[in-house]
Amino acid sequence: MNDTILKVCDVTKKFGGITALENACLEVKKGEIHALVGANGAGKSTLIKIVTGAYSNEEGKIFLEGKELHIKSTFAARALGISAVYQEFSLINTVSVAENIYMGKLLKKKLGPLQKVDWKKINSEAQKILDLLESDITPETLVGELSVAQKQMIEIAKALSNDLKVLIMDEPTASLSDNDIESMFGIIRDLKKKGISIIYVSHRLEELPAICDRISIYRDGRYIKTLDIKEASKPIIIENMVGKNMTSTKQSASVTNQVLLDVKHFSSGKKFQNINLTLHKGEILGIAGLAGAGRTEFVRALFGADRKDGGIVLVEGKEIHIKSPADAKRAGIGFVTEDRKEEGLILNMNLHTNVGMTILNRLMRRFRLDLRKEEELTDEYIQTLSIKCRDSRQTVKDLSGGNQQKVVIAKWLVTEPKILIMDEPTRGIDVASKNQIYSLMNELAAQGIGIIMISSELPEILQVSNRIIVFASGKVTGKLENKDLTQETLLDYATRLEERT
Amino acid sequence: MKRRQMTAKEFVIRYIMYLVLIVMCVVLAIANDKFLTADNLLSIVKQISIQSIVAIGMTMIIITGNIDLSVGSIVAFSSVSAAMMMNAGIPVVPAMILTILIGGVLGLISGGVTAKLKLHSFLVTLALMQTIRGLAQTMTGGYPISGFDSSFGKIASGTIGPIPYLVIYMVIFYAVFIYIMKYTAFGRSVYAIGGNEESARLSGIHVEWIKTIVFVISSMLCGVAGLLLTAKVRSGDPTCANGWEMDTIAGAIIGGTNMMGGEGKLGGTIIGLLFVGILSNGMVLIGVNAYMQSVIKGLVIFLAVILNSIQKRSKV
Repeated sequence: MNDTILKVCDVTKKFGGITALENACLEVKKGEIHALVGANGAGKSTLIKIVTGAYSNEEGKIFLEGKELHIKSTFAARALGISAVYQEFSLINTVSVAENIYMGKLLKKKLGPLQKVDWKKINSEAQKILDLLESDITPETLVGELSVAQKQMIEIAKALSNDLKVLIMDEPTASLSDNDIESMFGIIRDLKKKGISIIYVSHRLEELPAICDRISIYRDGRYIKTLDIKEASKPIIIENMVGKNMTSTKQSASVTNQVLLDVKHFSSGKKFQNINLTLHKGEILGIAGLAGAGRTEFVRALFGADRKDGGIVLVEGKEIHIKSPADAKRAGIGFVTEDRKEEGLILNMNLHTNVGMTILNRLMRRFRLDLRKEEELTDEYIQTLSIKCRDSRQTVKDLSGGNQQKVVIAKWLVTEPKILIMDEPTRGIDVASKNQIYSLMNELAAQGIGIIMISSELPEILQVSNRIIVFASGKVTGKLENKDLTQETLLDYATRLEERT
Repeated sequence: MKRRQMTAKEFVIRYIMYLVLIVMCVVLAIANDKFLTADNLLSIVKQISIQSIVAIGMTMIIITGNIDLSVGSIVAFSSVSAAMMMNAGIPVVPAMILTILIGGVLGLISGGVTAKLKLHSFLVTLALMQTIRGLAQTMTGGYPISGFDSSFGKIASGTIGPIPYLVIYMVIFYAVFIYIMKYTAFGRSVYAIGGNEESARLSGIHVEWIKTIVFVISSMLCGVAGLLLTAKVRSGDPTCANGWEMDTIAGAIIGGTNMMGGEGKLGGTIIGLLFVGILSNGMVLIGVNAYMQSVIKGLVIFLAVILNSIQKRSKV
């Protein structure tokens, strides 16, 4: 059967002088799960946004079931049966599940000469869709009360409320726990059985064979090739993504016995209780745990971003009172946040302004900011972190996710920190950039910086950390040397309730 | 540095406000031969000078993503306070300093409450706008206060050559604050807070502190404006500067300041105020009736806002 449902031909997209996508092609068959992979700035997001009508399509052609499309908006694309579920949700937290599903096309009934929203029907229709997904969420629930996995489910339900033909999923498993991933795969397979085609964008190459039929690879805004998933082993995919073989990094070898950071009895309400940890010079300390274990909450409190109930912090043996991020910065702590768009960057501003933001006081020369110094420093980091951009005056909004992440790292490295906290530093970025970030972490450790890394990817944490602390429900359940550790061991600790030795 | 060549379209979009301003001037110059005289032009600038000092603070506040509706009331309160203090026998210079400090205290209240309790500045300053205006009127029983030393009037009416003091003050204030916004850590922090408050806080910027300071500065500038206004009309008037919050917001917005915060330039604000000033002046010269003037002014502001949004959207 060669039943093509969606065909993209020679689509090119330019932003200002930069070509984001050049002669892109994609062919998706009916009822197929089609993986779309590529490194930073490979053009995946741009392609998706064009197909779903978020960006205009000036050149090239898109066909749905053989008919050429002229999509004007995402709403129009949805009506045609093309929907996308992004990492960032488009749901409104303060209204019900059913209303979210029918947002923009609320069912109405006649009320004399007027029309009235037919809530009964909306709720029952929404219930039907949710049943289809075998979900136990009720249509009346407020979206704000749902977990990340459930919200993703609602996004899919929203897509299903149209006559769905092609569903695009952008990193659907990035923020899910292993359990949720399995049920997500179940849903995807069900959709496939119904004849819906799925374009599956993911950086988690390991999961692709389990779910996908074919895979299309992009690099630097260009289409490279499409393979049957059986022929596409991980090394082959990576080779096509980066154009050369990648070597994996080893653990940092620069650990010392000098205690850099000592945290005692950290507690904050129900979020986390009695956390103790030490970090040595040149050490990479991994914090593992399932979603909701209190890891991010803990490091935010440590950095002074949130309140804590109690606890002591010693930096190089001296007690430090951290009441705000400014205090933490002064004590030599840097914090690469989990959410680069909301917490890390000012998207509308350029690279050097973002990088300079942490060192404004240091840049002051009597009465004037040394703007040249700021640009010089930024250029240095553009070089050393190989940030792909036009120059330091480019707006960070226009950079790809991996490059934005590097800017966040740069803005903390420029403070010359002794301790660097990195919360999910490689979330949502491609393999090549991930490896760059791992080697960078090793280099920093070699310079004597202590790094605390939170990661939900167990292979990553095992690859990079010297020692691993495991969180479960706000408590530390394990402190482990990273020797002969396996993912299974970590998961075992992450699901325990009390610390055992 | 590689710099791309600007196309004609980009040029027009970027400088559209300036172009419209020039076109307006040309039209007015042709329509009325009095418009393009040095006297008239100077009087336009003098006309907007006091308000433009208030607009500095307003622009900074909008850049942090906030708004201050109480500026007009603070100007009036300062005006009344200055007049009363001078009538009570306090010498001119200490009375001036005290007036500006009173402005600062009012800003400390609005800014401090906004920043510390994380309230919306719209609500805080809406309440203060009523309260402070009411206080000014209570203090004077609603009547203007005059009778203080007339030498005080010189700070507003004096000139150097043909240039009025008021215009000189305006230029100095703008020069200083343009510098502060562009070349100091404080200025950068103001932009950063408006761009992304959480990101700014996590970068170690003292968000609450900076926000409060911006309100304090703005209110102190209102104090300055109150003094100048009192000197200009030679009385402390509790009803003066009515509606200035809207005029200064309009000036900032026409000048390209983003209501959502993070973007804006003081240079733009002065252009915005000039724009409205020239328009009003021109309409008077041509003899447009007062009601129609208001309609046209409103429509022009409306148009300017639309042009600005087009400008922002086409930015690359």
